[in-house]
Amino acid sequence: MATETTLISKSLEKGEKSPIINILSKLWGTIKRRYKKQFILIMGLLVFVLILEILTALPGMTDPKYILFDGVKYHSEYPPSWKYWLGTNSTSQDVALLILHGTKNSLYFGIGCALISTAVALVVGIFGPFIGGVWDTASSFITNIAMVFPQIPFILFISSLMATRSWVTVMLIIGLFSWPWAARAIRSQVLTLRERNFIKVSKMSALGNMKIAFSEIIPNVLSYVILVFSISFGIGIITEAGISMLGLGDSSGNFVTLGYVLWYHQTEYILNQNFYHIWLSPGIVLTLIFLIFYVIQSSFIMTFNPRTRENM
Amino acid sequence: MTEVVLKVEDLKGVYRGSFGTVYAVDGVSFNVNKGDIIAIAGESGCGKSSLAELLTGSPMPMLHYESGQVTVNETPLYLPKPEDKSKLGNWEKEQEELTNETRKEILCKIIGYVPQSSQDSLNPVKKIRSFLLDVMKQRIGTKPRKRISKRKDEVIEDGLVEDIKPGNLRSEVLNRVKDHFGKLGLDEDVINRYPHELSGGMKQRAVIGISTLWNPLILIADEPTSALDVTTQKLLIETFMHLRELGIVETILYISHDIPTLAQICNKCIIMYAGKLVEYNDMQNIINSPLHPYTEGLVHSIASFNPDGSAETDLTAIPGRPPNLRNPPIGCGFYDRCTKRMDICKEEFPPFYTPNEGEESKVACWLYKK
Amino acid sequence: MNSLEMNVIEEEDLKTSFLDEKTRAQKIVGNSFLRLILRKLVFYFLVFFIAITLAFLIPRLVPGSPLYYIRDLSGSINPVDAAIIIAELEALFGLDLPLWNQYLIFLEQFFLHGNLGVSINLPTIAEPVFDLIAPRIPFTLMIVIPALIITFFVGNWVGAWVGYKETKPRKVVYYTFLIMGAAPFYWFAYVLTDIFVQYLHFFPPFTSTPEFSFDLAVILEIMKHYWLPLILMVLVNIGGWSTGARSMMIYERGSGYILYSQKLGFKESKLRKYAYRNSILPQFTGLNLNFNNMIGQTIILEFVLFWPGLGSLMISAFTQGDYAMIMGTFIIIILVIVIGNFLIDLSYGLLDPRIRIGGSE
Ligand SMILES: Nc1ncnc2c1ncn2[C@@H]1O[C@H](COP(=O)(O)OP(=O)(O)OP(=O)(O)O)[C@@H](O)[C@H]1O
Ligand code: SF4
Ligand SMILES: [Mg+2]
Repeated sequence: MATETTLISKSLEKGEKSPIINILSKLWGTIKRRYKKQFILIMGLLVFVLILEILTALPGMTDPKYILFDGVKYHSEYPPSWKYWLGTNSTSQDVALLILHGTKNSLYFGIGCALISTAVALVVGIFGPFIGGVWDTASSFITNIAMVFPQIPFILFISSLMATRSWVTVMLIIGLFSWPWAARAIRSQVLTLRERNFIKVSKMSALGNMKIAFSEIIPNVLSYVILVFSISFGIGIITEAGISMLGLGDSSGNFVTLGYVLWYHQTEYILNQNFYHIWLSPGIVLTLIFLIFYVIQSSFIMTFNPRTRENM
Repeated sequence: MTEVVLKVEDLKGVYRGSFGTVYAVDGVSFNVNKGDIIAIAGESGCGKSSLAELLTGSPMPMLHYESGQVTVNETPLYLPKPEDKSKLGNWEKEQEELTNETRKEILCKIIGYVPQSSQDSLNPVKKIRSFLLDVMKQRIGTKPRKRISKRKDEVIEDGLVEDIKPGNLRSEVLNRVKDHFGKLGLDEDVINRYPHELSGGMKQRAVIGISTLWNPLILIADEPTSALDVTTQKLLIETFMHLRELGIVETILYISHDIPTLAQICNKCIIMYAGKLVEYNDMQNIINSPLHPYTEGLVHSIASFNPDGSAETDLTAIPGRPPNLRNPPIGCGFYDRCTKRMDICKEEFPPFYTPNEGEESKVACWLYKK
Repeated sequence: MNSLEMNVIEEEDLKTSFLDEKTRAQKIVGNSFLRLILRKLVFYFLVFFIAITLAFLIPRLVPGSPLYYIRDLSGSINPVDAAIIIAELEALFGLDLPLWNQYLIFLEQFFLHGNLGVSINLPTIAEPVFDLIAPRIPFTLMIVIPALIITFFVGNWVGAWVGYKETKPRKVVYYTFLIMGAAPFYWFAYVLTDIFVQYLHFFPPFTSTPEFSFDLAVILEIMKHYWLPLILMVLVNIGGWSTGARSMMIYERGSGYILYSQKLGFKESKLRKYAYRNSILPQFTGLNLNFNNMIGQTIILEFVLFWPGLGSLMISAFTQGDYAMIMGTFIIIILVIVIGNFLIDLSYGLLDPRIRIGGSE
């Protein structure tokens, strides 16, 4: 580990032409080498999103809320069949199509939330302890306070006060309220790294703070960052689904997520309880997404802790 | 005739896990006489700790006994593994029982073991005192009582923890332990602290103290000084000598890769390389006239012997790396790095030779073939 | 803070210490515990203060008037009337005053008079919201507190139990909890209702729980409705604790003190106890976060299962646009969370001598 990072700092010292590109390519190399498995899993997820994107762009599949009307009668409350895999609901919509769109949008939503909260967590968690002094105290103080802030009530509160909410707003709200634990996790990792020798050595060799942060700290907290990202991903999806369940999600009704599908079919549940396929399927898809995240996360436990890996 | 207390015959042990099989101890045999202080030296990863674990008869979970035998005071610690695969399950069960028996009867009483990771060998949520009481309870059956009961208490006759019985008073037992710790240069107060409140050296000594409570016949100490600074190292070595003077332990197996320290305190030395014993000799001979080319390299790579015994060990002075123990070579493991290698070295592992007649030494190297 | 180094005070250690040590220890413990209480008190007061300040500011900063819902009336009432109503309501809530003035009034009303404003929802119009909120608090707490305690112990126990020896039946139990924990809880609520209410008829049908009163019949009726949300909260939260406890246990069972204790002749059962205790301890730090999460979950769950707690009150206030009620329930939820966290920190301080004496985080 140390050798990799010293290599990076050496190349930095030599003052090669574009340090940023250099650093990024080195970072990329580290990701590919050290976190291959997680990388593959996350890439797999992105490919899955891409497939969904293509599927939902096919002709006849672009509108999730398309009402199935063949000119004679509405196709409402059909049981699952080859044509409608998960049947149709009482509004004559194809449930499978709703879920397809819901899955895609939920995943997008999760990625967005994860990007926001990971970015905030990184800024608060890395630069605070690294720059030290007032920044350190401030960032730790903010994190500690934000840790005990009730996220879900806050998110609900804010959403309820807005007359119209686009999905971007909802994403911002969720993203901006779910970083504290991530910042804390990254922070404690950075604090232990700071005590390690090679950071001290780089400090002595008069590398700039930012350069050290990029060349030494980030590669070393990378596993944490990816973990935090994947957890935030999950949290984003489940929180969005939760507040959509309460009808506080995207207010236009055009951004169909799994939570929206659940909410949309709430009445279905009450009216037509035998239509299990309608209200069970979005939940099952959500559960599956979480199990995938569980696999990603537990593969990290192994990266962090070789002893755990061997004993497993 | 000197009394042989520990006899190791062709001992083999492997690590098994998702990583495959690591042949960590690969056919080691030697005898330990009563009163010996034997050094086990070799570079990092050569299997010293694994050997020590196997010698206790209760190796750590991933290290498995393969073949050979360890006899302590004429008690064998392992049941030979059957050839027949179908009997393996049965053998495992019996071996498990034997291991439990070993833990009860051999460990602490006959073999004291100081693990390499003694810095984290104490339960972090227990004060030393309550850990000790747990040890007593586990070994004796009941915790020493807190108060005097009407029944007459058994009186402990002399200062040996060995004689502690279920009936003894707790404070008395703890006093005894304090006494014992005092001999190791530990403060009385240590007993009332949590492990994280002790310094590295204190922790080390507390572990040594606990391992020697029952005055074991043999003490196996695995790199007791490696995590300590030079002064503490010296103090610790004095502690060992002191333990011997007091007669608490007589025979010590001292594992280290620090040849100068070993030279100070040991009279015999075992050199290991890639899981195999390559040389067994008197300590003086190891320093002055090493037989095996690896020993030679090892000794020569020490820059100088300082008056205080410390020296810079720089094992990289022997170019190359030891072989991968996942698929050890058939021939001599040192072949790639040896300057005196011959063709035969690559094909076959050398048998043990005793070049100097009459000496109790052996070396595994083709050079000594007559 | 290195969680592995955390410690618990031992009963036995206190009892068997020498007398003078005992009194000395008591002195230190007493003083520093007081200090811990003070420090935490200040911290949580600060958190509370910041949170309610945000609660005050956010509605005034989000685009549109906090009284946006009046727009819904615009169809039925003519615009002039609607404007008059909005103006009247703004005057009622003091929203026409300058911001700092509103803030001072808000603080004064809250801290000095415990006044959170009045409801403008028709059935409860002009009633102080605090009086409407107060009877709901126990309903939320009676779910969150038992669920927190049960999930903590059961979840960690399951995790450690699986981690210590990973046999097949144990893994089945573990993964079952894991899957239940991965399922979105609000959806899982439907699944459970379907199983327990529709088919097994264990619990009364999917209807609203009565409000509390000192009538045995009512209390029994409430208890009948109580089990489903409680069981649900327990089932969905065990998985999270077990995952953590399992990996802690897998780590601990290979750690130095276990291997050494084994060489000292410890029996299996004692080793298990050692490993168990060490793998559970770090989990205590997760209690705060889990408590906060659980409050969030309960809010949504109460709405889904018609449980008359704070959450369902808050959400119905959202739909009715009952401004003071939204603010009131929100502030009370923050208060519950802050007090809960404070108590968790204190009990943790009781368990861990290092936090109590050193006081570093
Ligand atoms: N838990 C383990 N799992 C797998 N392989 C292991 C394990 N512990 C040790 N090994 C391997 O077994 C071999 C011997 O290890 P051992 O710990 O006995 O070496 P050592 O001589 O004590 O080294 P050191 O001086 O560094 O303590 C090494 O090659 C090591 O890679
Ligand atoms: S056996 Fe051959 S290769 Fe091995 S040490 Fe002796 S001379 Fe060198
Ligand atoms: Mg070793």
